[in-house]
Amino acid sequence: MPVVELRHDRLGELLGGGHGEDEIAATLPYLGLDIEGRTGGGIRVEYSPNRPDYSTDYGIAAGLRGLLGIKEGAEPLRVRGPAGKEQAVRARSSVSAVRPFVTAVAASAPGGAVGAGALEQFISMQEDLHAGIGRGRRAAAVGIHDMEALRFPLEYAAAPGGRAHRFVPLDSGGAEVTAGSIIDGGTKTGAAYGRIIRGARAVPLITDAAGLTVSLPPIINAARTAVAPGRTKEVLVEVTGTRRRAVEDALSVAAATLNEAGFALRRVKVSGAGNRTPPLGPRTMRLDAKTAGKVLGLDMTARRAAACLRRSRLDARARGGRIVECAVPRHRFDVRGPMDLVEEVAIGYGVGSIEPAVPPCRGPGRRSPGAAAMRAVRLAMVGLGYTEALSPTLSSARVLYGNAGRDPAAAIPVADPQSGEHTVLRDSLLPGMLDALSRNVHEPYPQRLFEAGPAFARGPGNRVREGARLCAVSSHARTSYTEIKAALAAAAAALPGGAALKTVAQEHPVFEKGRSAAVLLGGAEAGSAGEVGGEARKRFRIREPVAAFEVELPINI
Amino acid sequence: MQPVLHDIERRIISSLRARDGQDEGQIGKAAGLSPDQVRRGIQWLKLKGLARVEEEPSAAVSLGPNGAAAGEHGLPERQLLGMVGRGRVSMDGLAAKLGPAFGPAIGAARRGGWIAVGEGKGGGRAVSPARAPGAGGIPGEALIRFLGKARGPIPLGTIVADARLAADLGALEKRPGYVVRKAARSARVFLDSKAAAAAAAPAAGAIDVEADAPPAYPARTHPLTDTIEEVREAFAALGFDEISGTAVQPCFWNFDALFTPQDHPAREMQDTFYLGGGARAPGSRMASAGHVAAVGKEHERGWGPGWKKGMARRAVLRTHTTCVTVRHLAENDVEDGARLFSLGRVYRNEKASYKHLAEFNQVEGVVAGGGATLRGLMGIQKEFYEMVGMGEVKFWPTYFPYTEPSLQTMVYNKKAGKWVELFGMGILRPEVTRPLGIRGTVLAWGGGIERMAMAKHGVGDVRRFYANDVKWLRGPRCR
Repeated sequence: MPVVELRHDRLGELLGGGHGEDEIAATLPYLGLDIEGRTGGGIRVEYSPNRPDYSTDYGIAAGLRGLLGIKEGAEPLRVRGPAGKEQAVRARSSVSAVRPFVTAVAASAPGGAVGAGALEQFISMQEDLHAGIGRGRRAAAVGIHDMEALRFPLEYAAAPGGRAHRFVPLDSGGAEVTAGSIIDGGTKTGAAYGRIIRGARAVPLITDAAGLTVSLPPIINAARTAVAPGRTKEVLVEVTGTRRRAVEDALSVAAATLNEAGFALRRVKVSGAGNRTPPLGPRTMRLDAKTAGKVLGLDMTARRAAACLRRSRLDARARGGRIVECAVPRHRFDVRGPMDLVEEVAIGYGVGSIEPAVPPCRGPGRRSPGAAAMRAVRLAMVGLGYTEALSPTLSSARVLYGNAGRDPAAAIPVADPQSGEHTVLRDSLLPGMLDALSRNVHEPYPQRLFEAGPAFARGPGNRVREGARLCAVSSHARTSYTEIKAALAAAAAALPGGAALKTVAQEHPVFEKGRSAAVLLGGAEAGSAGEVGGEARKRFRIREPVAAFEVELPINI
Repeated sequence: MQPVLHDIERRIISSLRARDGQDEGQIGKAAGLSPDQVRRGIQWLKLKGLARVEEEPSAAVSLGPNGAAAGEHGLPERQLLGMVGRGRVSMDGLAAKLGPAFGPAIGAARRGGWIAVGEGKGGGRAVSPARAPGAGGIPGEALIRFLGKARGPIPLGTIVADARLAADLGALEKRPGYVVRKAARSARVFLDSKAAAAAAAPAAGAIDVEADAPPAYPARTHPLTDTIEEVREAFAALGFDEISGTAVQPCFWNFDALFTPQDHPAREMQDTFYLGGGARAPGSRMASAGHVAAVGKEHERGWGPGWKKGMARRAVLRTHTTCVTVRHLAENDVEDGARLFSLGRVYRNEKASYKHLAEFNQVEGVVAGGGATLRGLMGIQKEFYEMVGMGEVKFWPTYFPYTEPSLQTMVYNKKAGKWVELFGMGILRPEVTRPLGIRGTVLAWGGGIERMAMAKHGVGDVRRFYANDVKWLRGPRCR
């Protein structure tokens, strides 16, 4: 989950003073923010990906104001008209195949210029938007520019020169480079995001009326439009992407954040090739207070529910005794339906104030027959003197096939594992048990271990078959086939229905020739037993003799 | 009652009763025991309070380099006497033969009166024999012989006890490099008054009941299994019936049915294990045609066009147990108010660390309809934590993709002195229940079991549960 650094001084200022650090820290979790840690001058919090408006301290302060009773209802979002007819972005169909959507808004800074602290927040918001709804900049990428460096109208179109188009990007150290070299990974951001448009015919480009490059989305802005803290008076936020909803969602978060930061918003007209000027106004939704009360287990009236919603920073009012009318700001796109409003009611009510109530007791439930049978098997093995071991069901080819000398033809691998130790679903428990013995050669013998758990096999039509297996190993100087068969017989007797056991001579890659048997439970082949051969022991580096059995259990887990 | 004595102890006692205050070497010689047996026996007697050991600072003496040379070739004066023999020998000749030892040799021989010095034939000085050394030999020779035969340094006390050796030590210590004194401790063993009676007691049939026995290890179930069974027990006691499902699921049930968009980061390969090698999920079909169509439609409505059935078909290792419960609710006729739970291994494609595993156990309970409320679920959870011995809990709002509202349980961990996130809970979103035809409010709650087991067993590194460290598995349990 994404993390925001909150500084006590900034937060205190945004809340207008009067709220101590401890009070704030105690309130944050009730907004759904997890406290990750406390630093010298602040707090690190994690926010949920459905609330990108919490990616800055402006957004978090807005939420806190509601729960602390400083301000209720939504923050009014006023968007003035464009500064002139020319304040517009026009998209061309030449980008439709690669990155069709664009949107934008302008905002002038309070106090005459963008502060360094505010800019830091916006950049952190921008990064979080890229990672979240931006889906790594593919679905949406945000650019922030100094308005004074731009001449309207802007154009969003394929670069006429294609990959040969030249400009000075933000991260080339002032050098002019070609779009192609950026896309191919010649710059840092190009290496990270170039692949998004690498395969496309067109090179998407935002240029201004003077023909100068503004941005090569979704990779990098031009150096000349960079926002300078303390100097930039007005910013342009543009978002491009492959999905209109993601693009407009991202813009709405940026607009709401700028609004919270005291910026004056101004509309930018967007048109062309299926694009539109972004709607930034709220939607109206209705909530049945009685439903909310029934779901939460609280006594709710429309008036109470509306008051809770206002504390969650939504505009709401009662329409009669049951119905609440709620205006959901554009940036709260996580609110999709009435159940989302129920959650907002709970948060506004204060989750800490909801007293848990134990519902009337029903009769006791039951563990599944499979779980109960597995428990009986485990207890039988413990009674026989075997200690339970647990191994991951995702094992490695080295343990399962290499060391065990088994045929890997039917292995079930996973795609792109992060760790070399977890690459193949186990089809047998014995290799894992031998691996366990090999890691305990310094412990006193005898060592008697068992494992009872799931294993996987390829069934007809390549469908994975899951089954429960039991494996036991006994390792000490005088262990023998007889010892392990005795344990196997006792375990078989503990199975549901007490399956009849039979063993017949059969070779096995792990077991010594002549001391290796196939195990039949109730007449069906279920596994094998034997004395582990010298070769296998050598590969597992086990010096003491080992006898073992493994069977598939007639248990459905 | 008399303590039972080992044969070694009896022999040491009898040796000390003959002469109390012997050191280990002396006891060993007298009792016919090896140094190791003497050391162990004295240790046992000390523990039983039958003997005490007094250590005192002392010194040990051994030959220095000159002493060792003298042991081989004789003292320089003995060599000089040999060269002089019966006749007169020139002083220069002796000096050349004896080298730097010539001076001390001449001095000692003259002091002893064994030689006379006079005019030589060629004008130089010459040495001629006088009377022979006495029967005791030359001072120092006896000690050199004694030390030369000894295997190691000899305690000073042993030397001082012999007048002749003591005199030799005095003589040799005046000359550099003949003997070396090293600081040592002498340990002398004294019997307690009770020892005689103990040794006299009959030994027949009695054994040392106080001696340590070899370790035995109880076989047992795994600590994590114990916690899993405890959780099962608690869910059952709260009225939940266990259902089971497969670990390999089609994406449809793991993601799509739970309204996780097909381009959601959690579905990417670096987070989720997809099966390779053409392996497919168990079961003859992914889901009923009606469910597939309805879920696809819900996705297109919620996330935009382009939902792909092919993506839903891919086999994954389930990333949570919710897929099992939701599938059960969708495919079975469940009575109103039913309480169900599923428990099993879930998988995340990440590198294991002290707090995360690529594979762990998860439990999830659902309450389907029957007037279930969030507040009621909070009550059930509180009961649950009390049952498993984790008292203090509180609830914080949180976010889960398929529930709304969503809460997480925070449990106070006394050892860490902080609130730790444990289970999550929430109400399944209508986007999940509606297309699957699940009626009523469905409350879900659950979470990872390893994290709970860590707190219960005092385990700081979650990897320990799957390390199969035999010492830990058969060692003492925390609680």
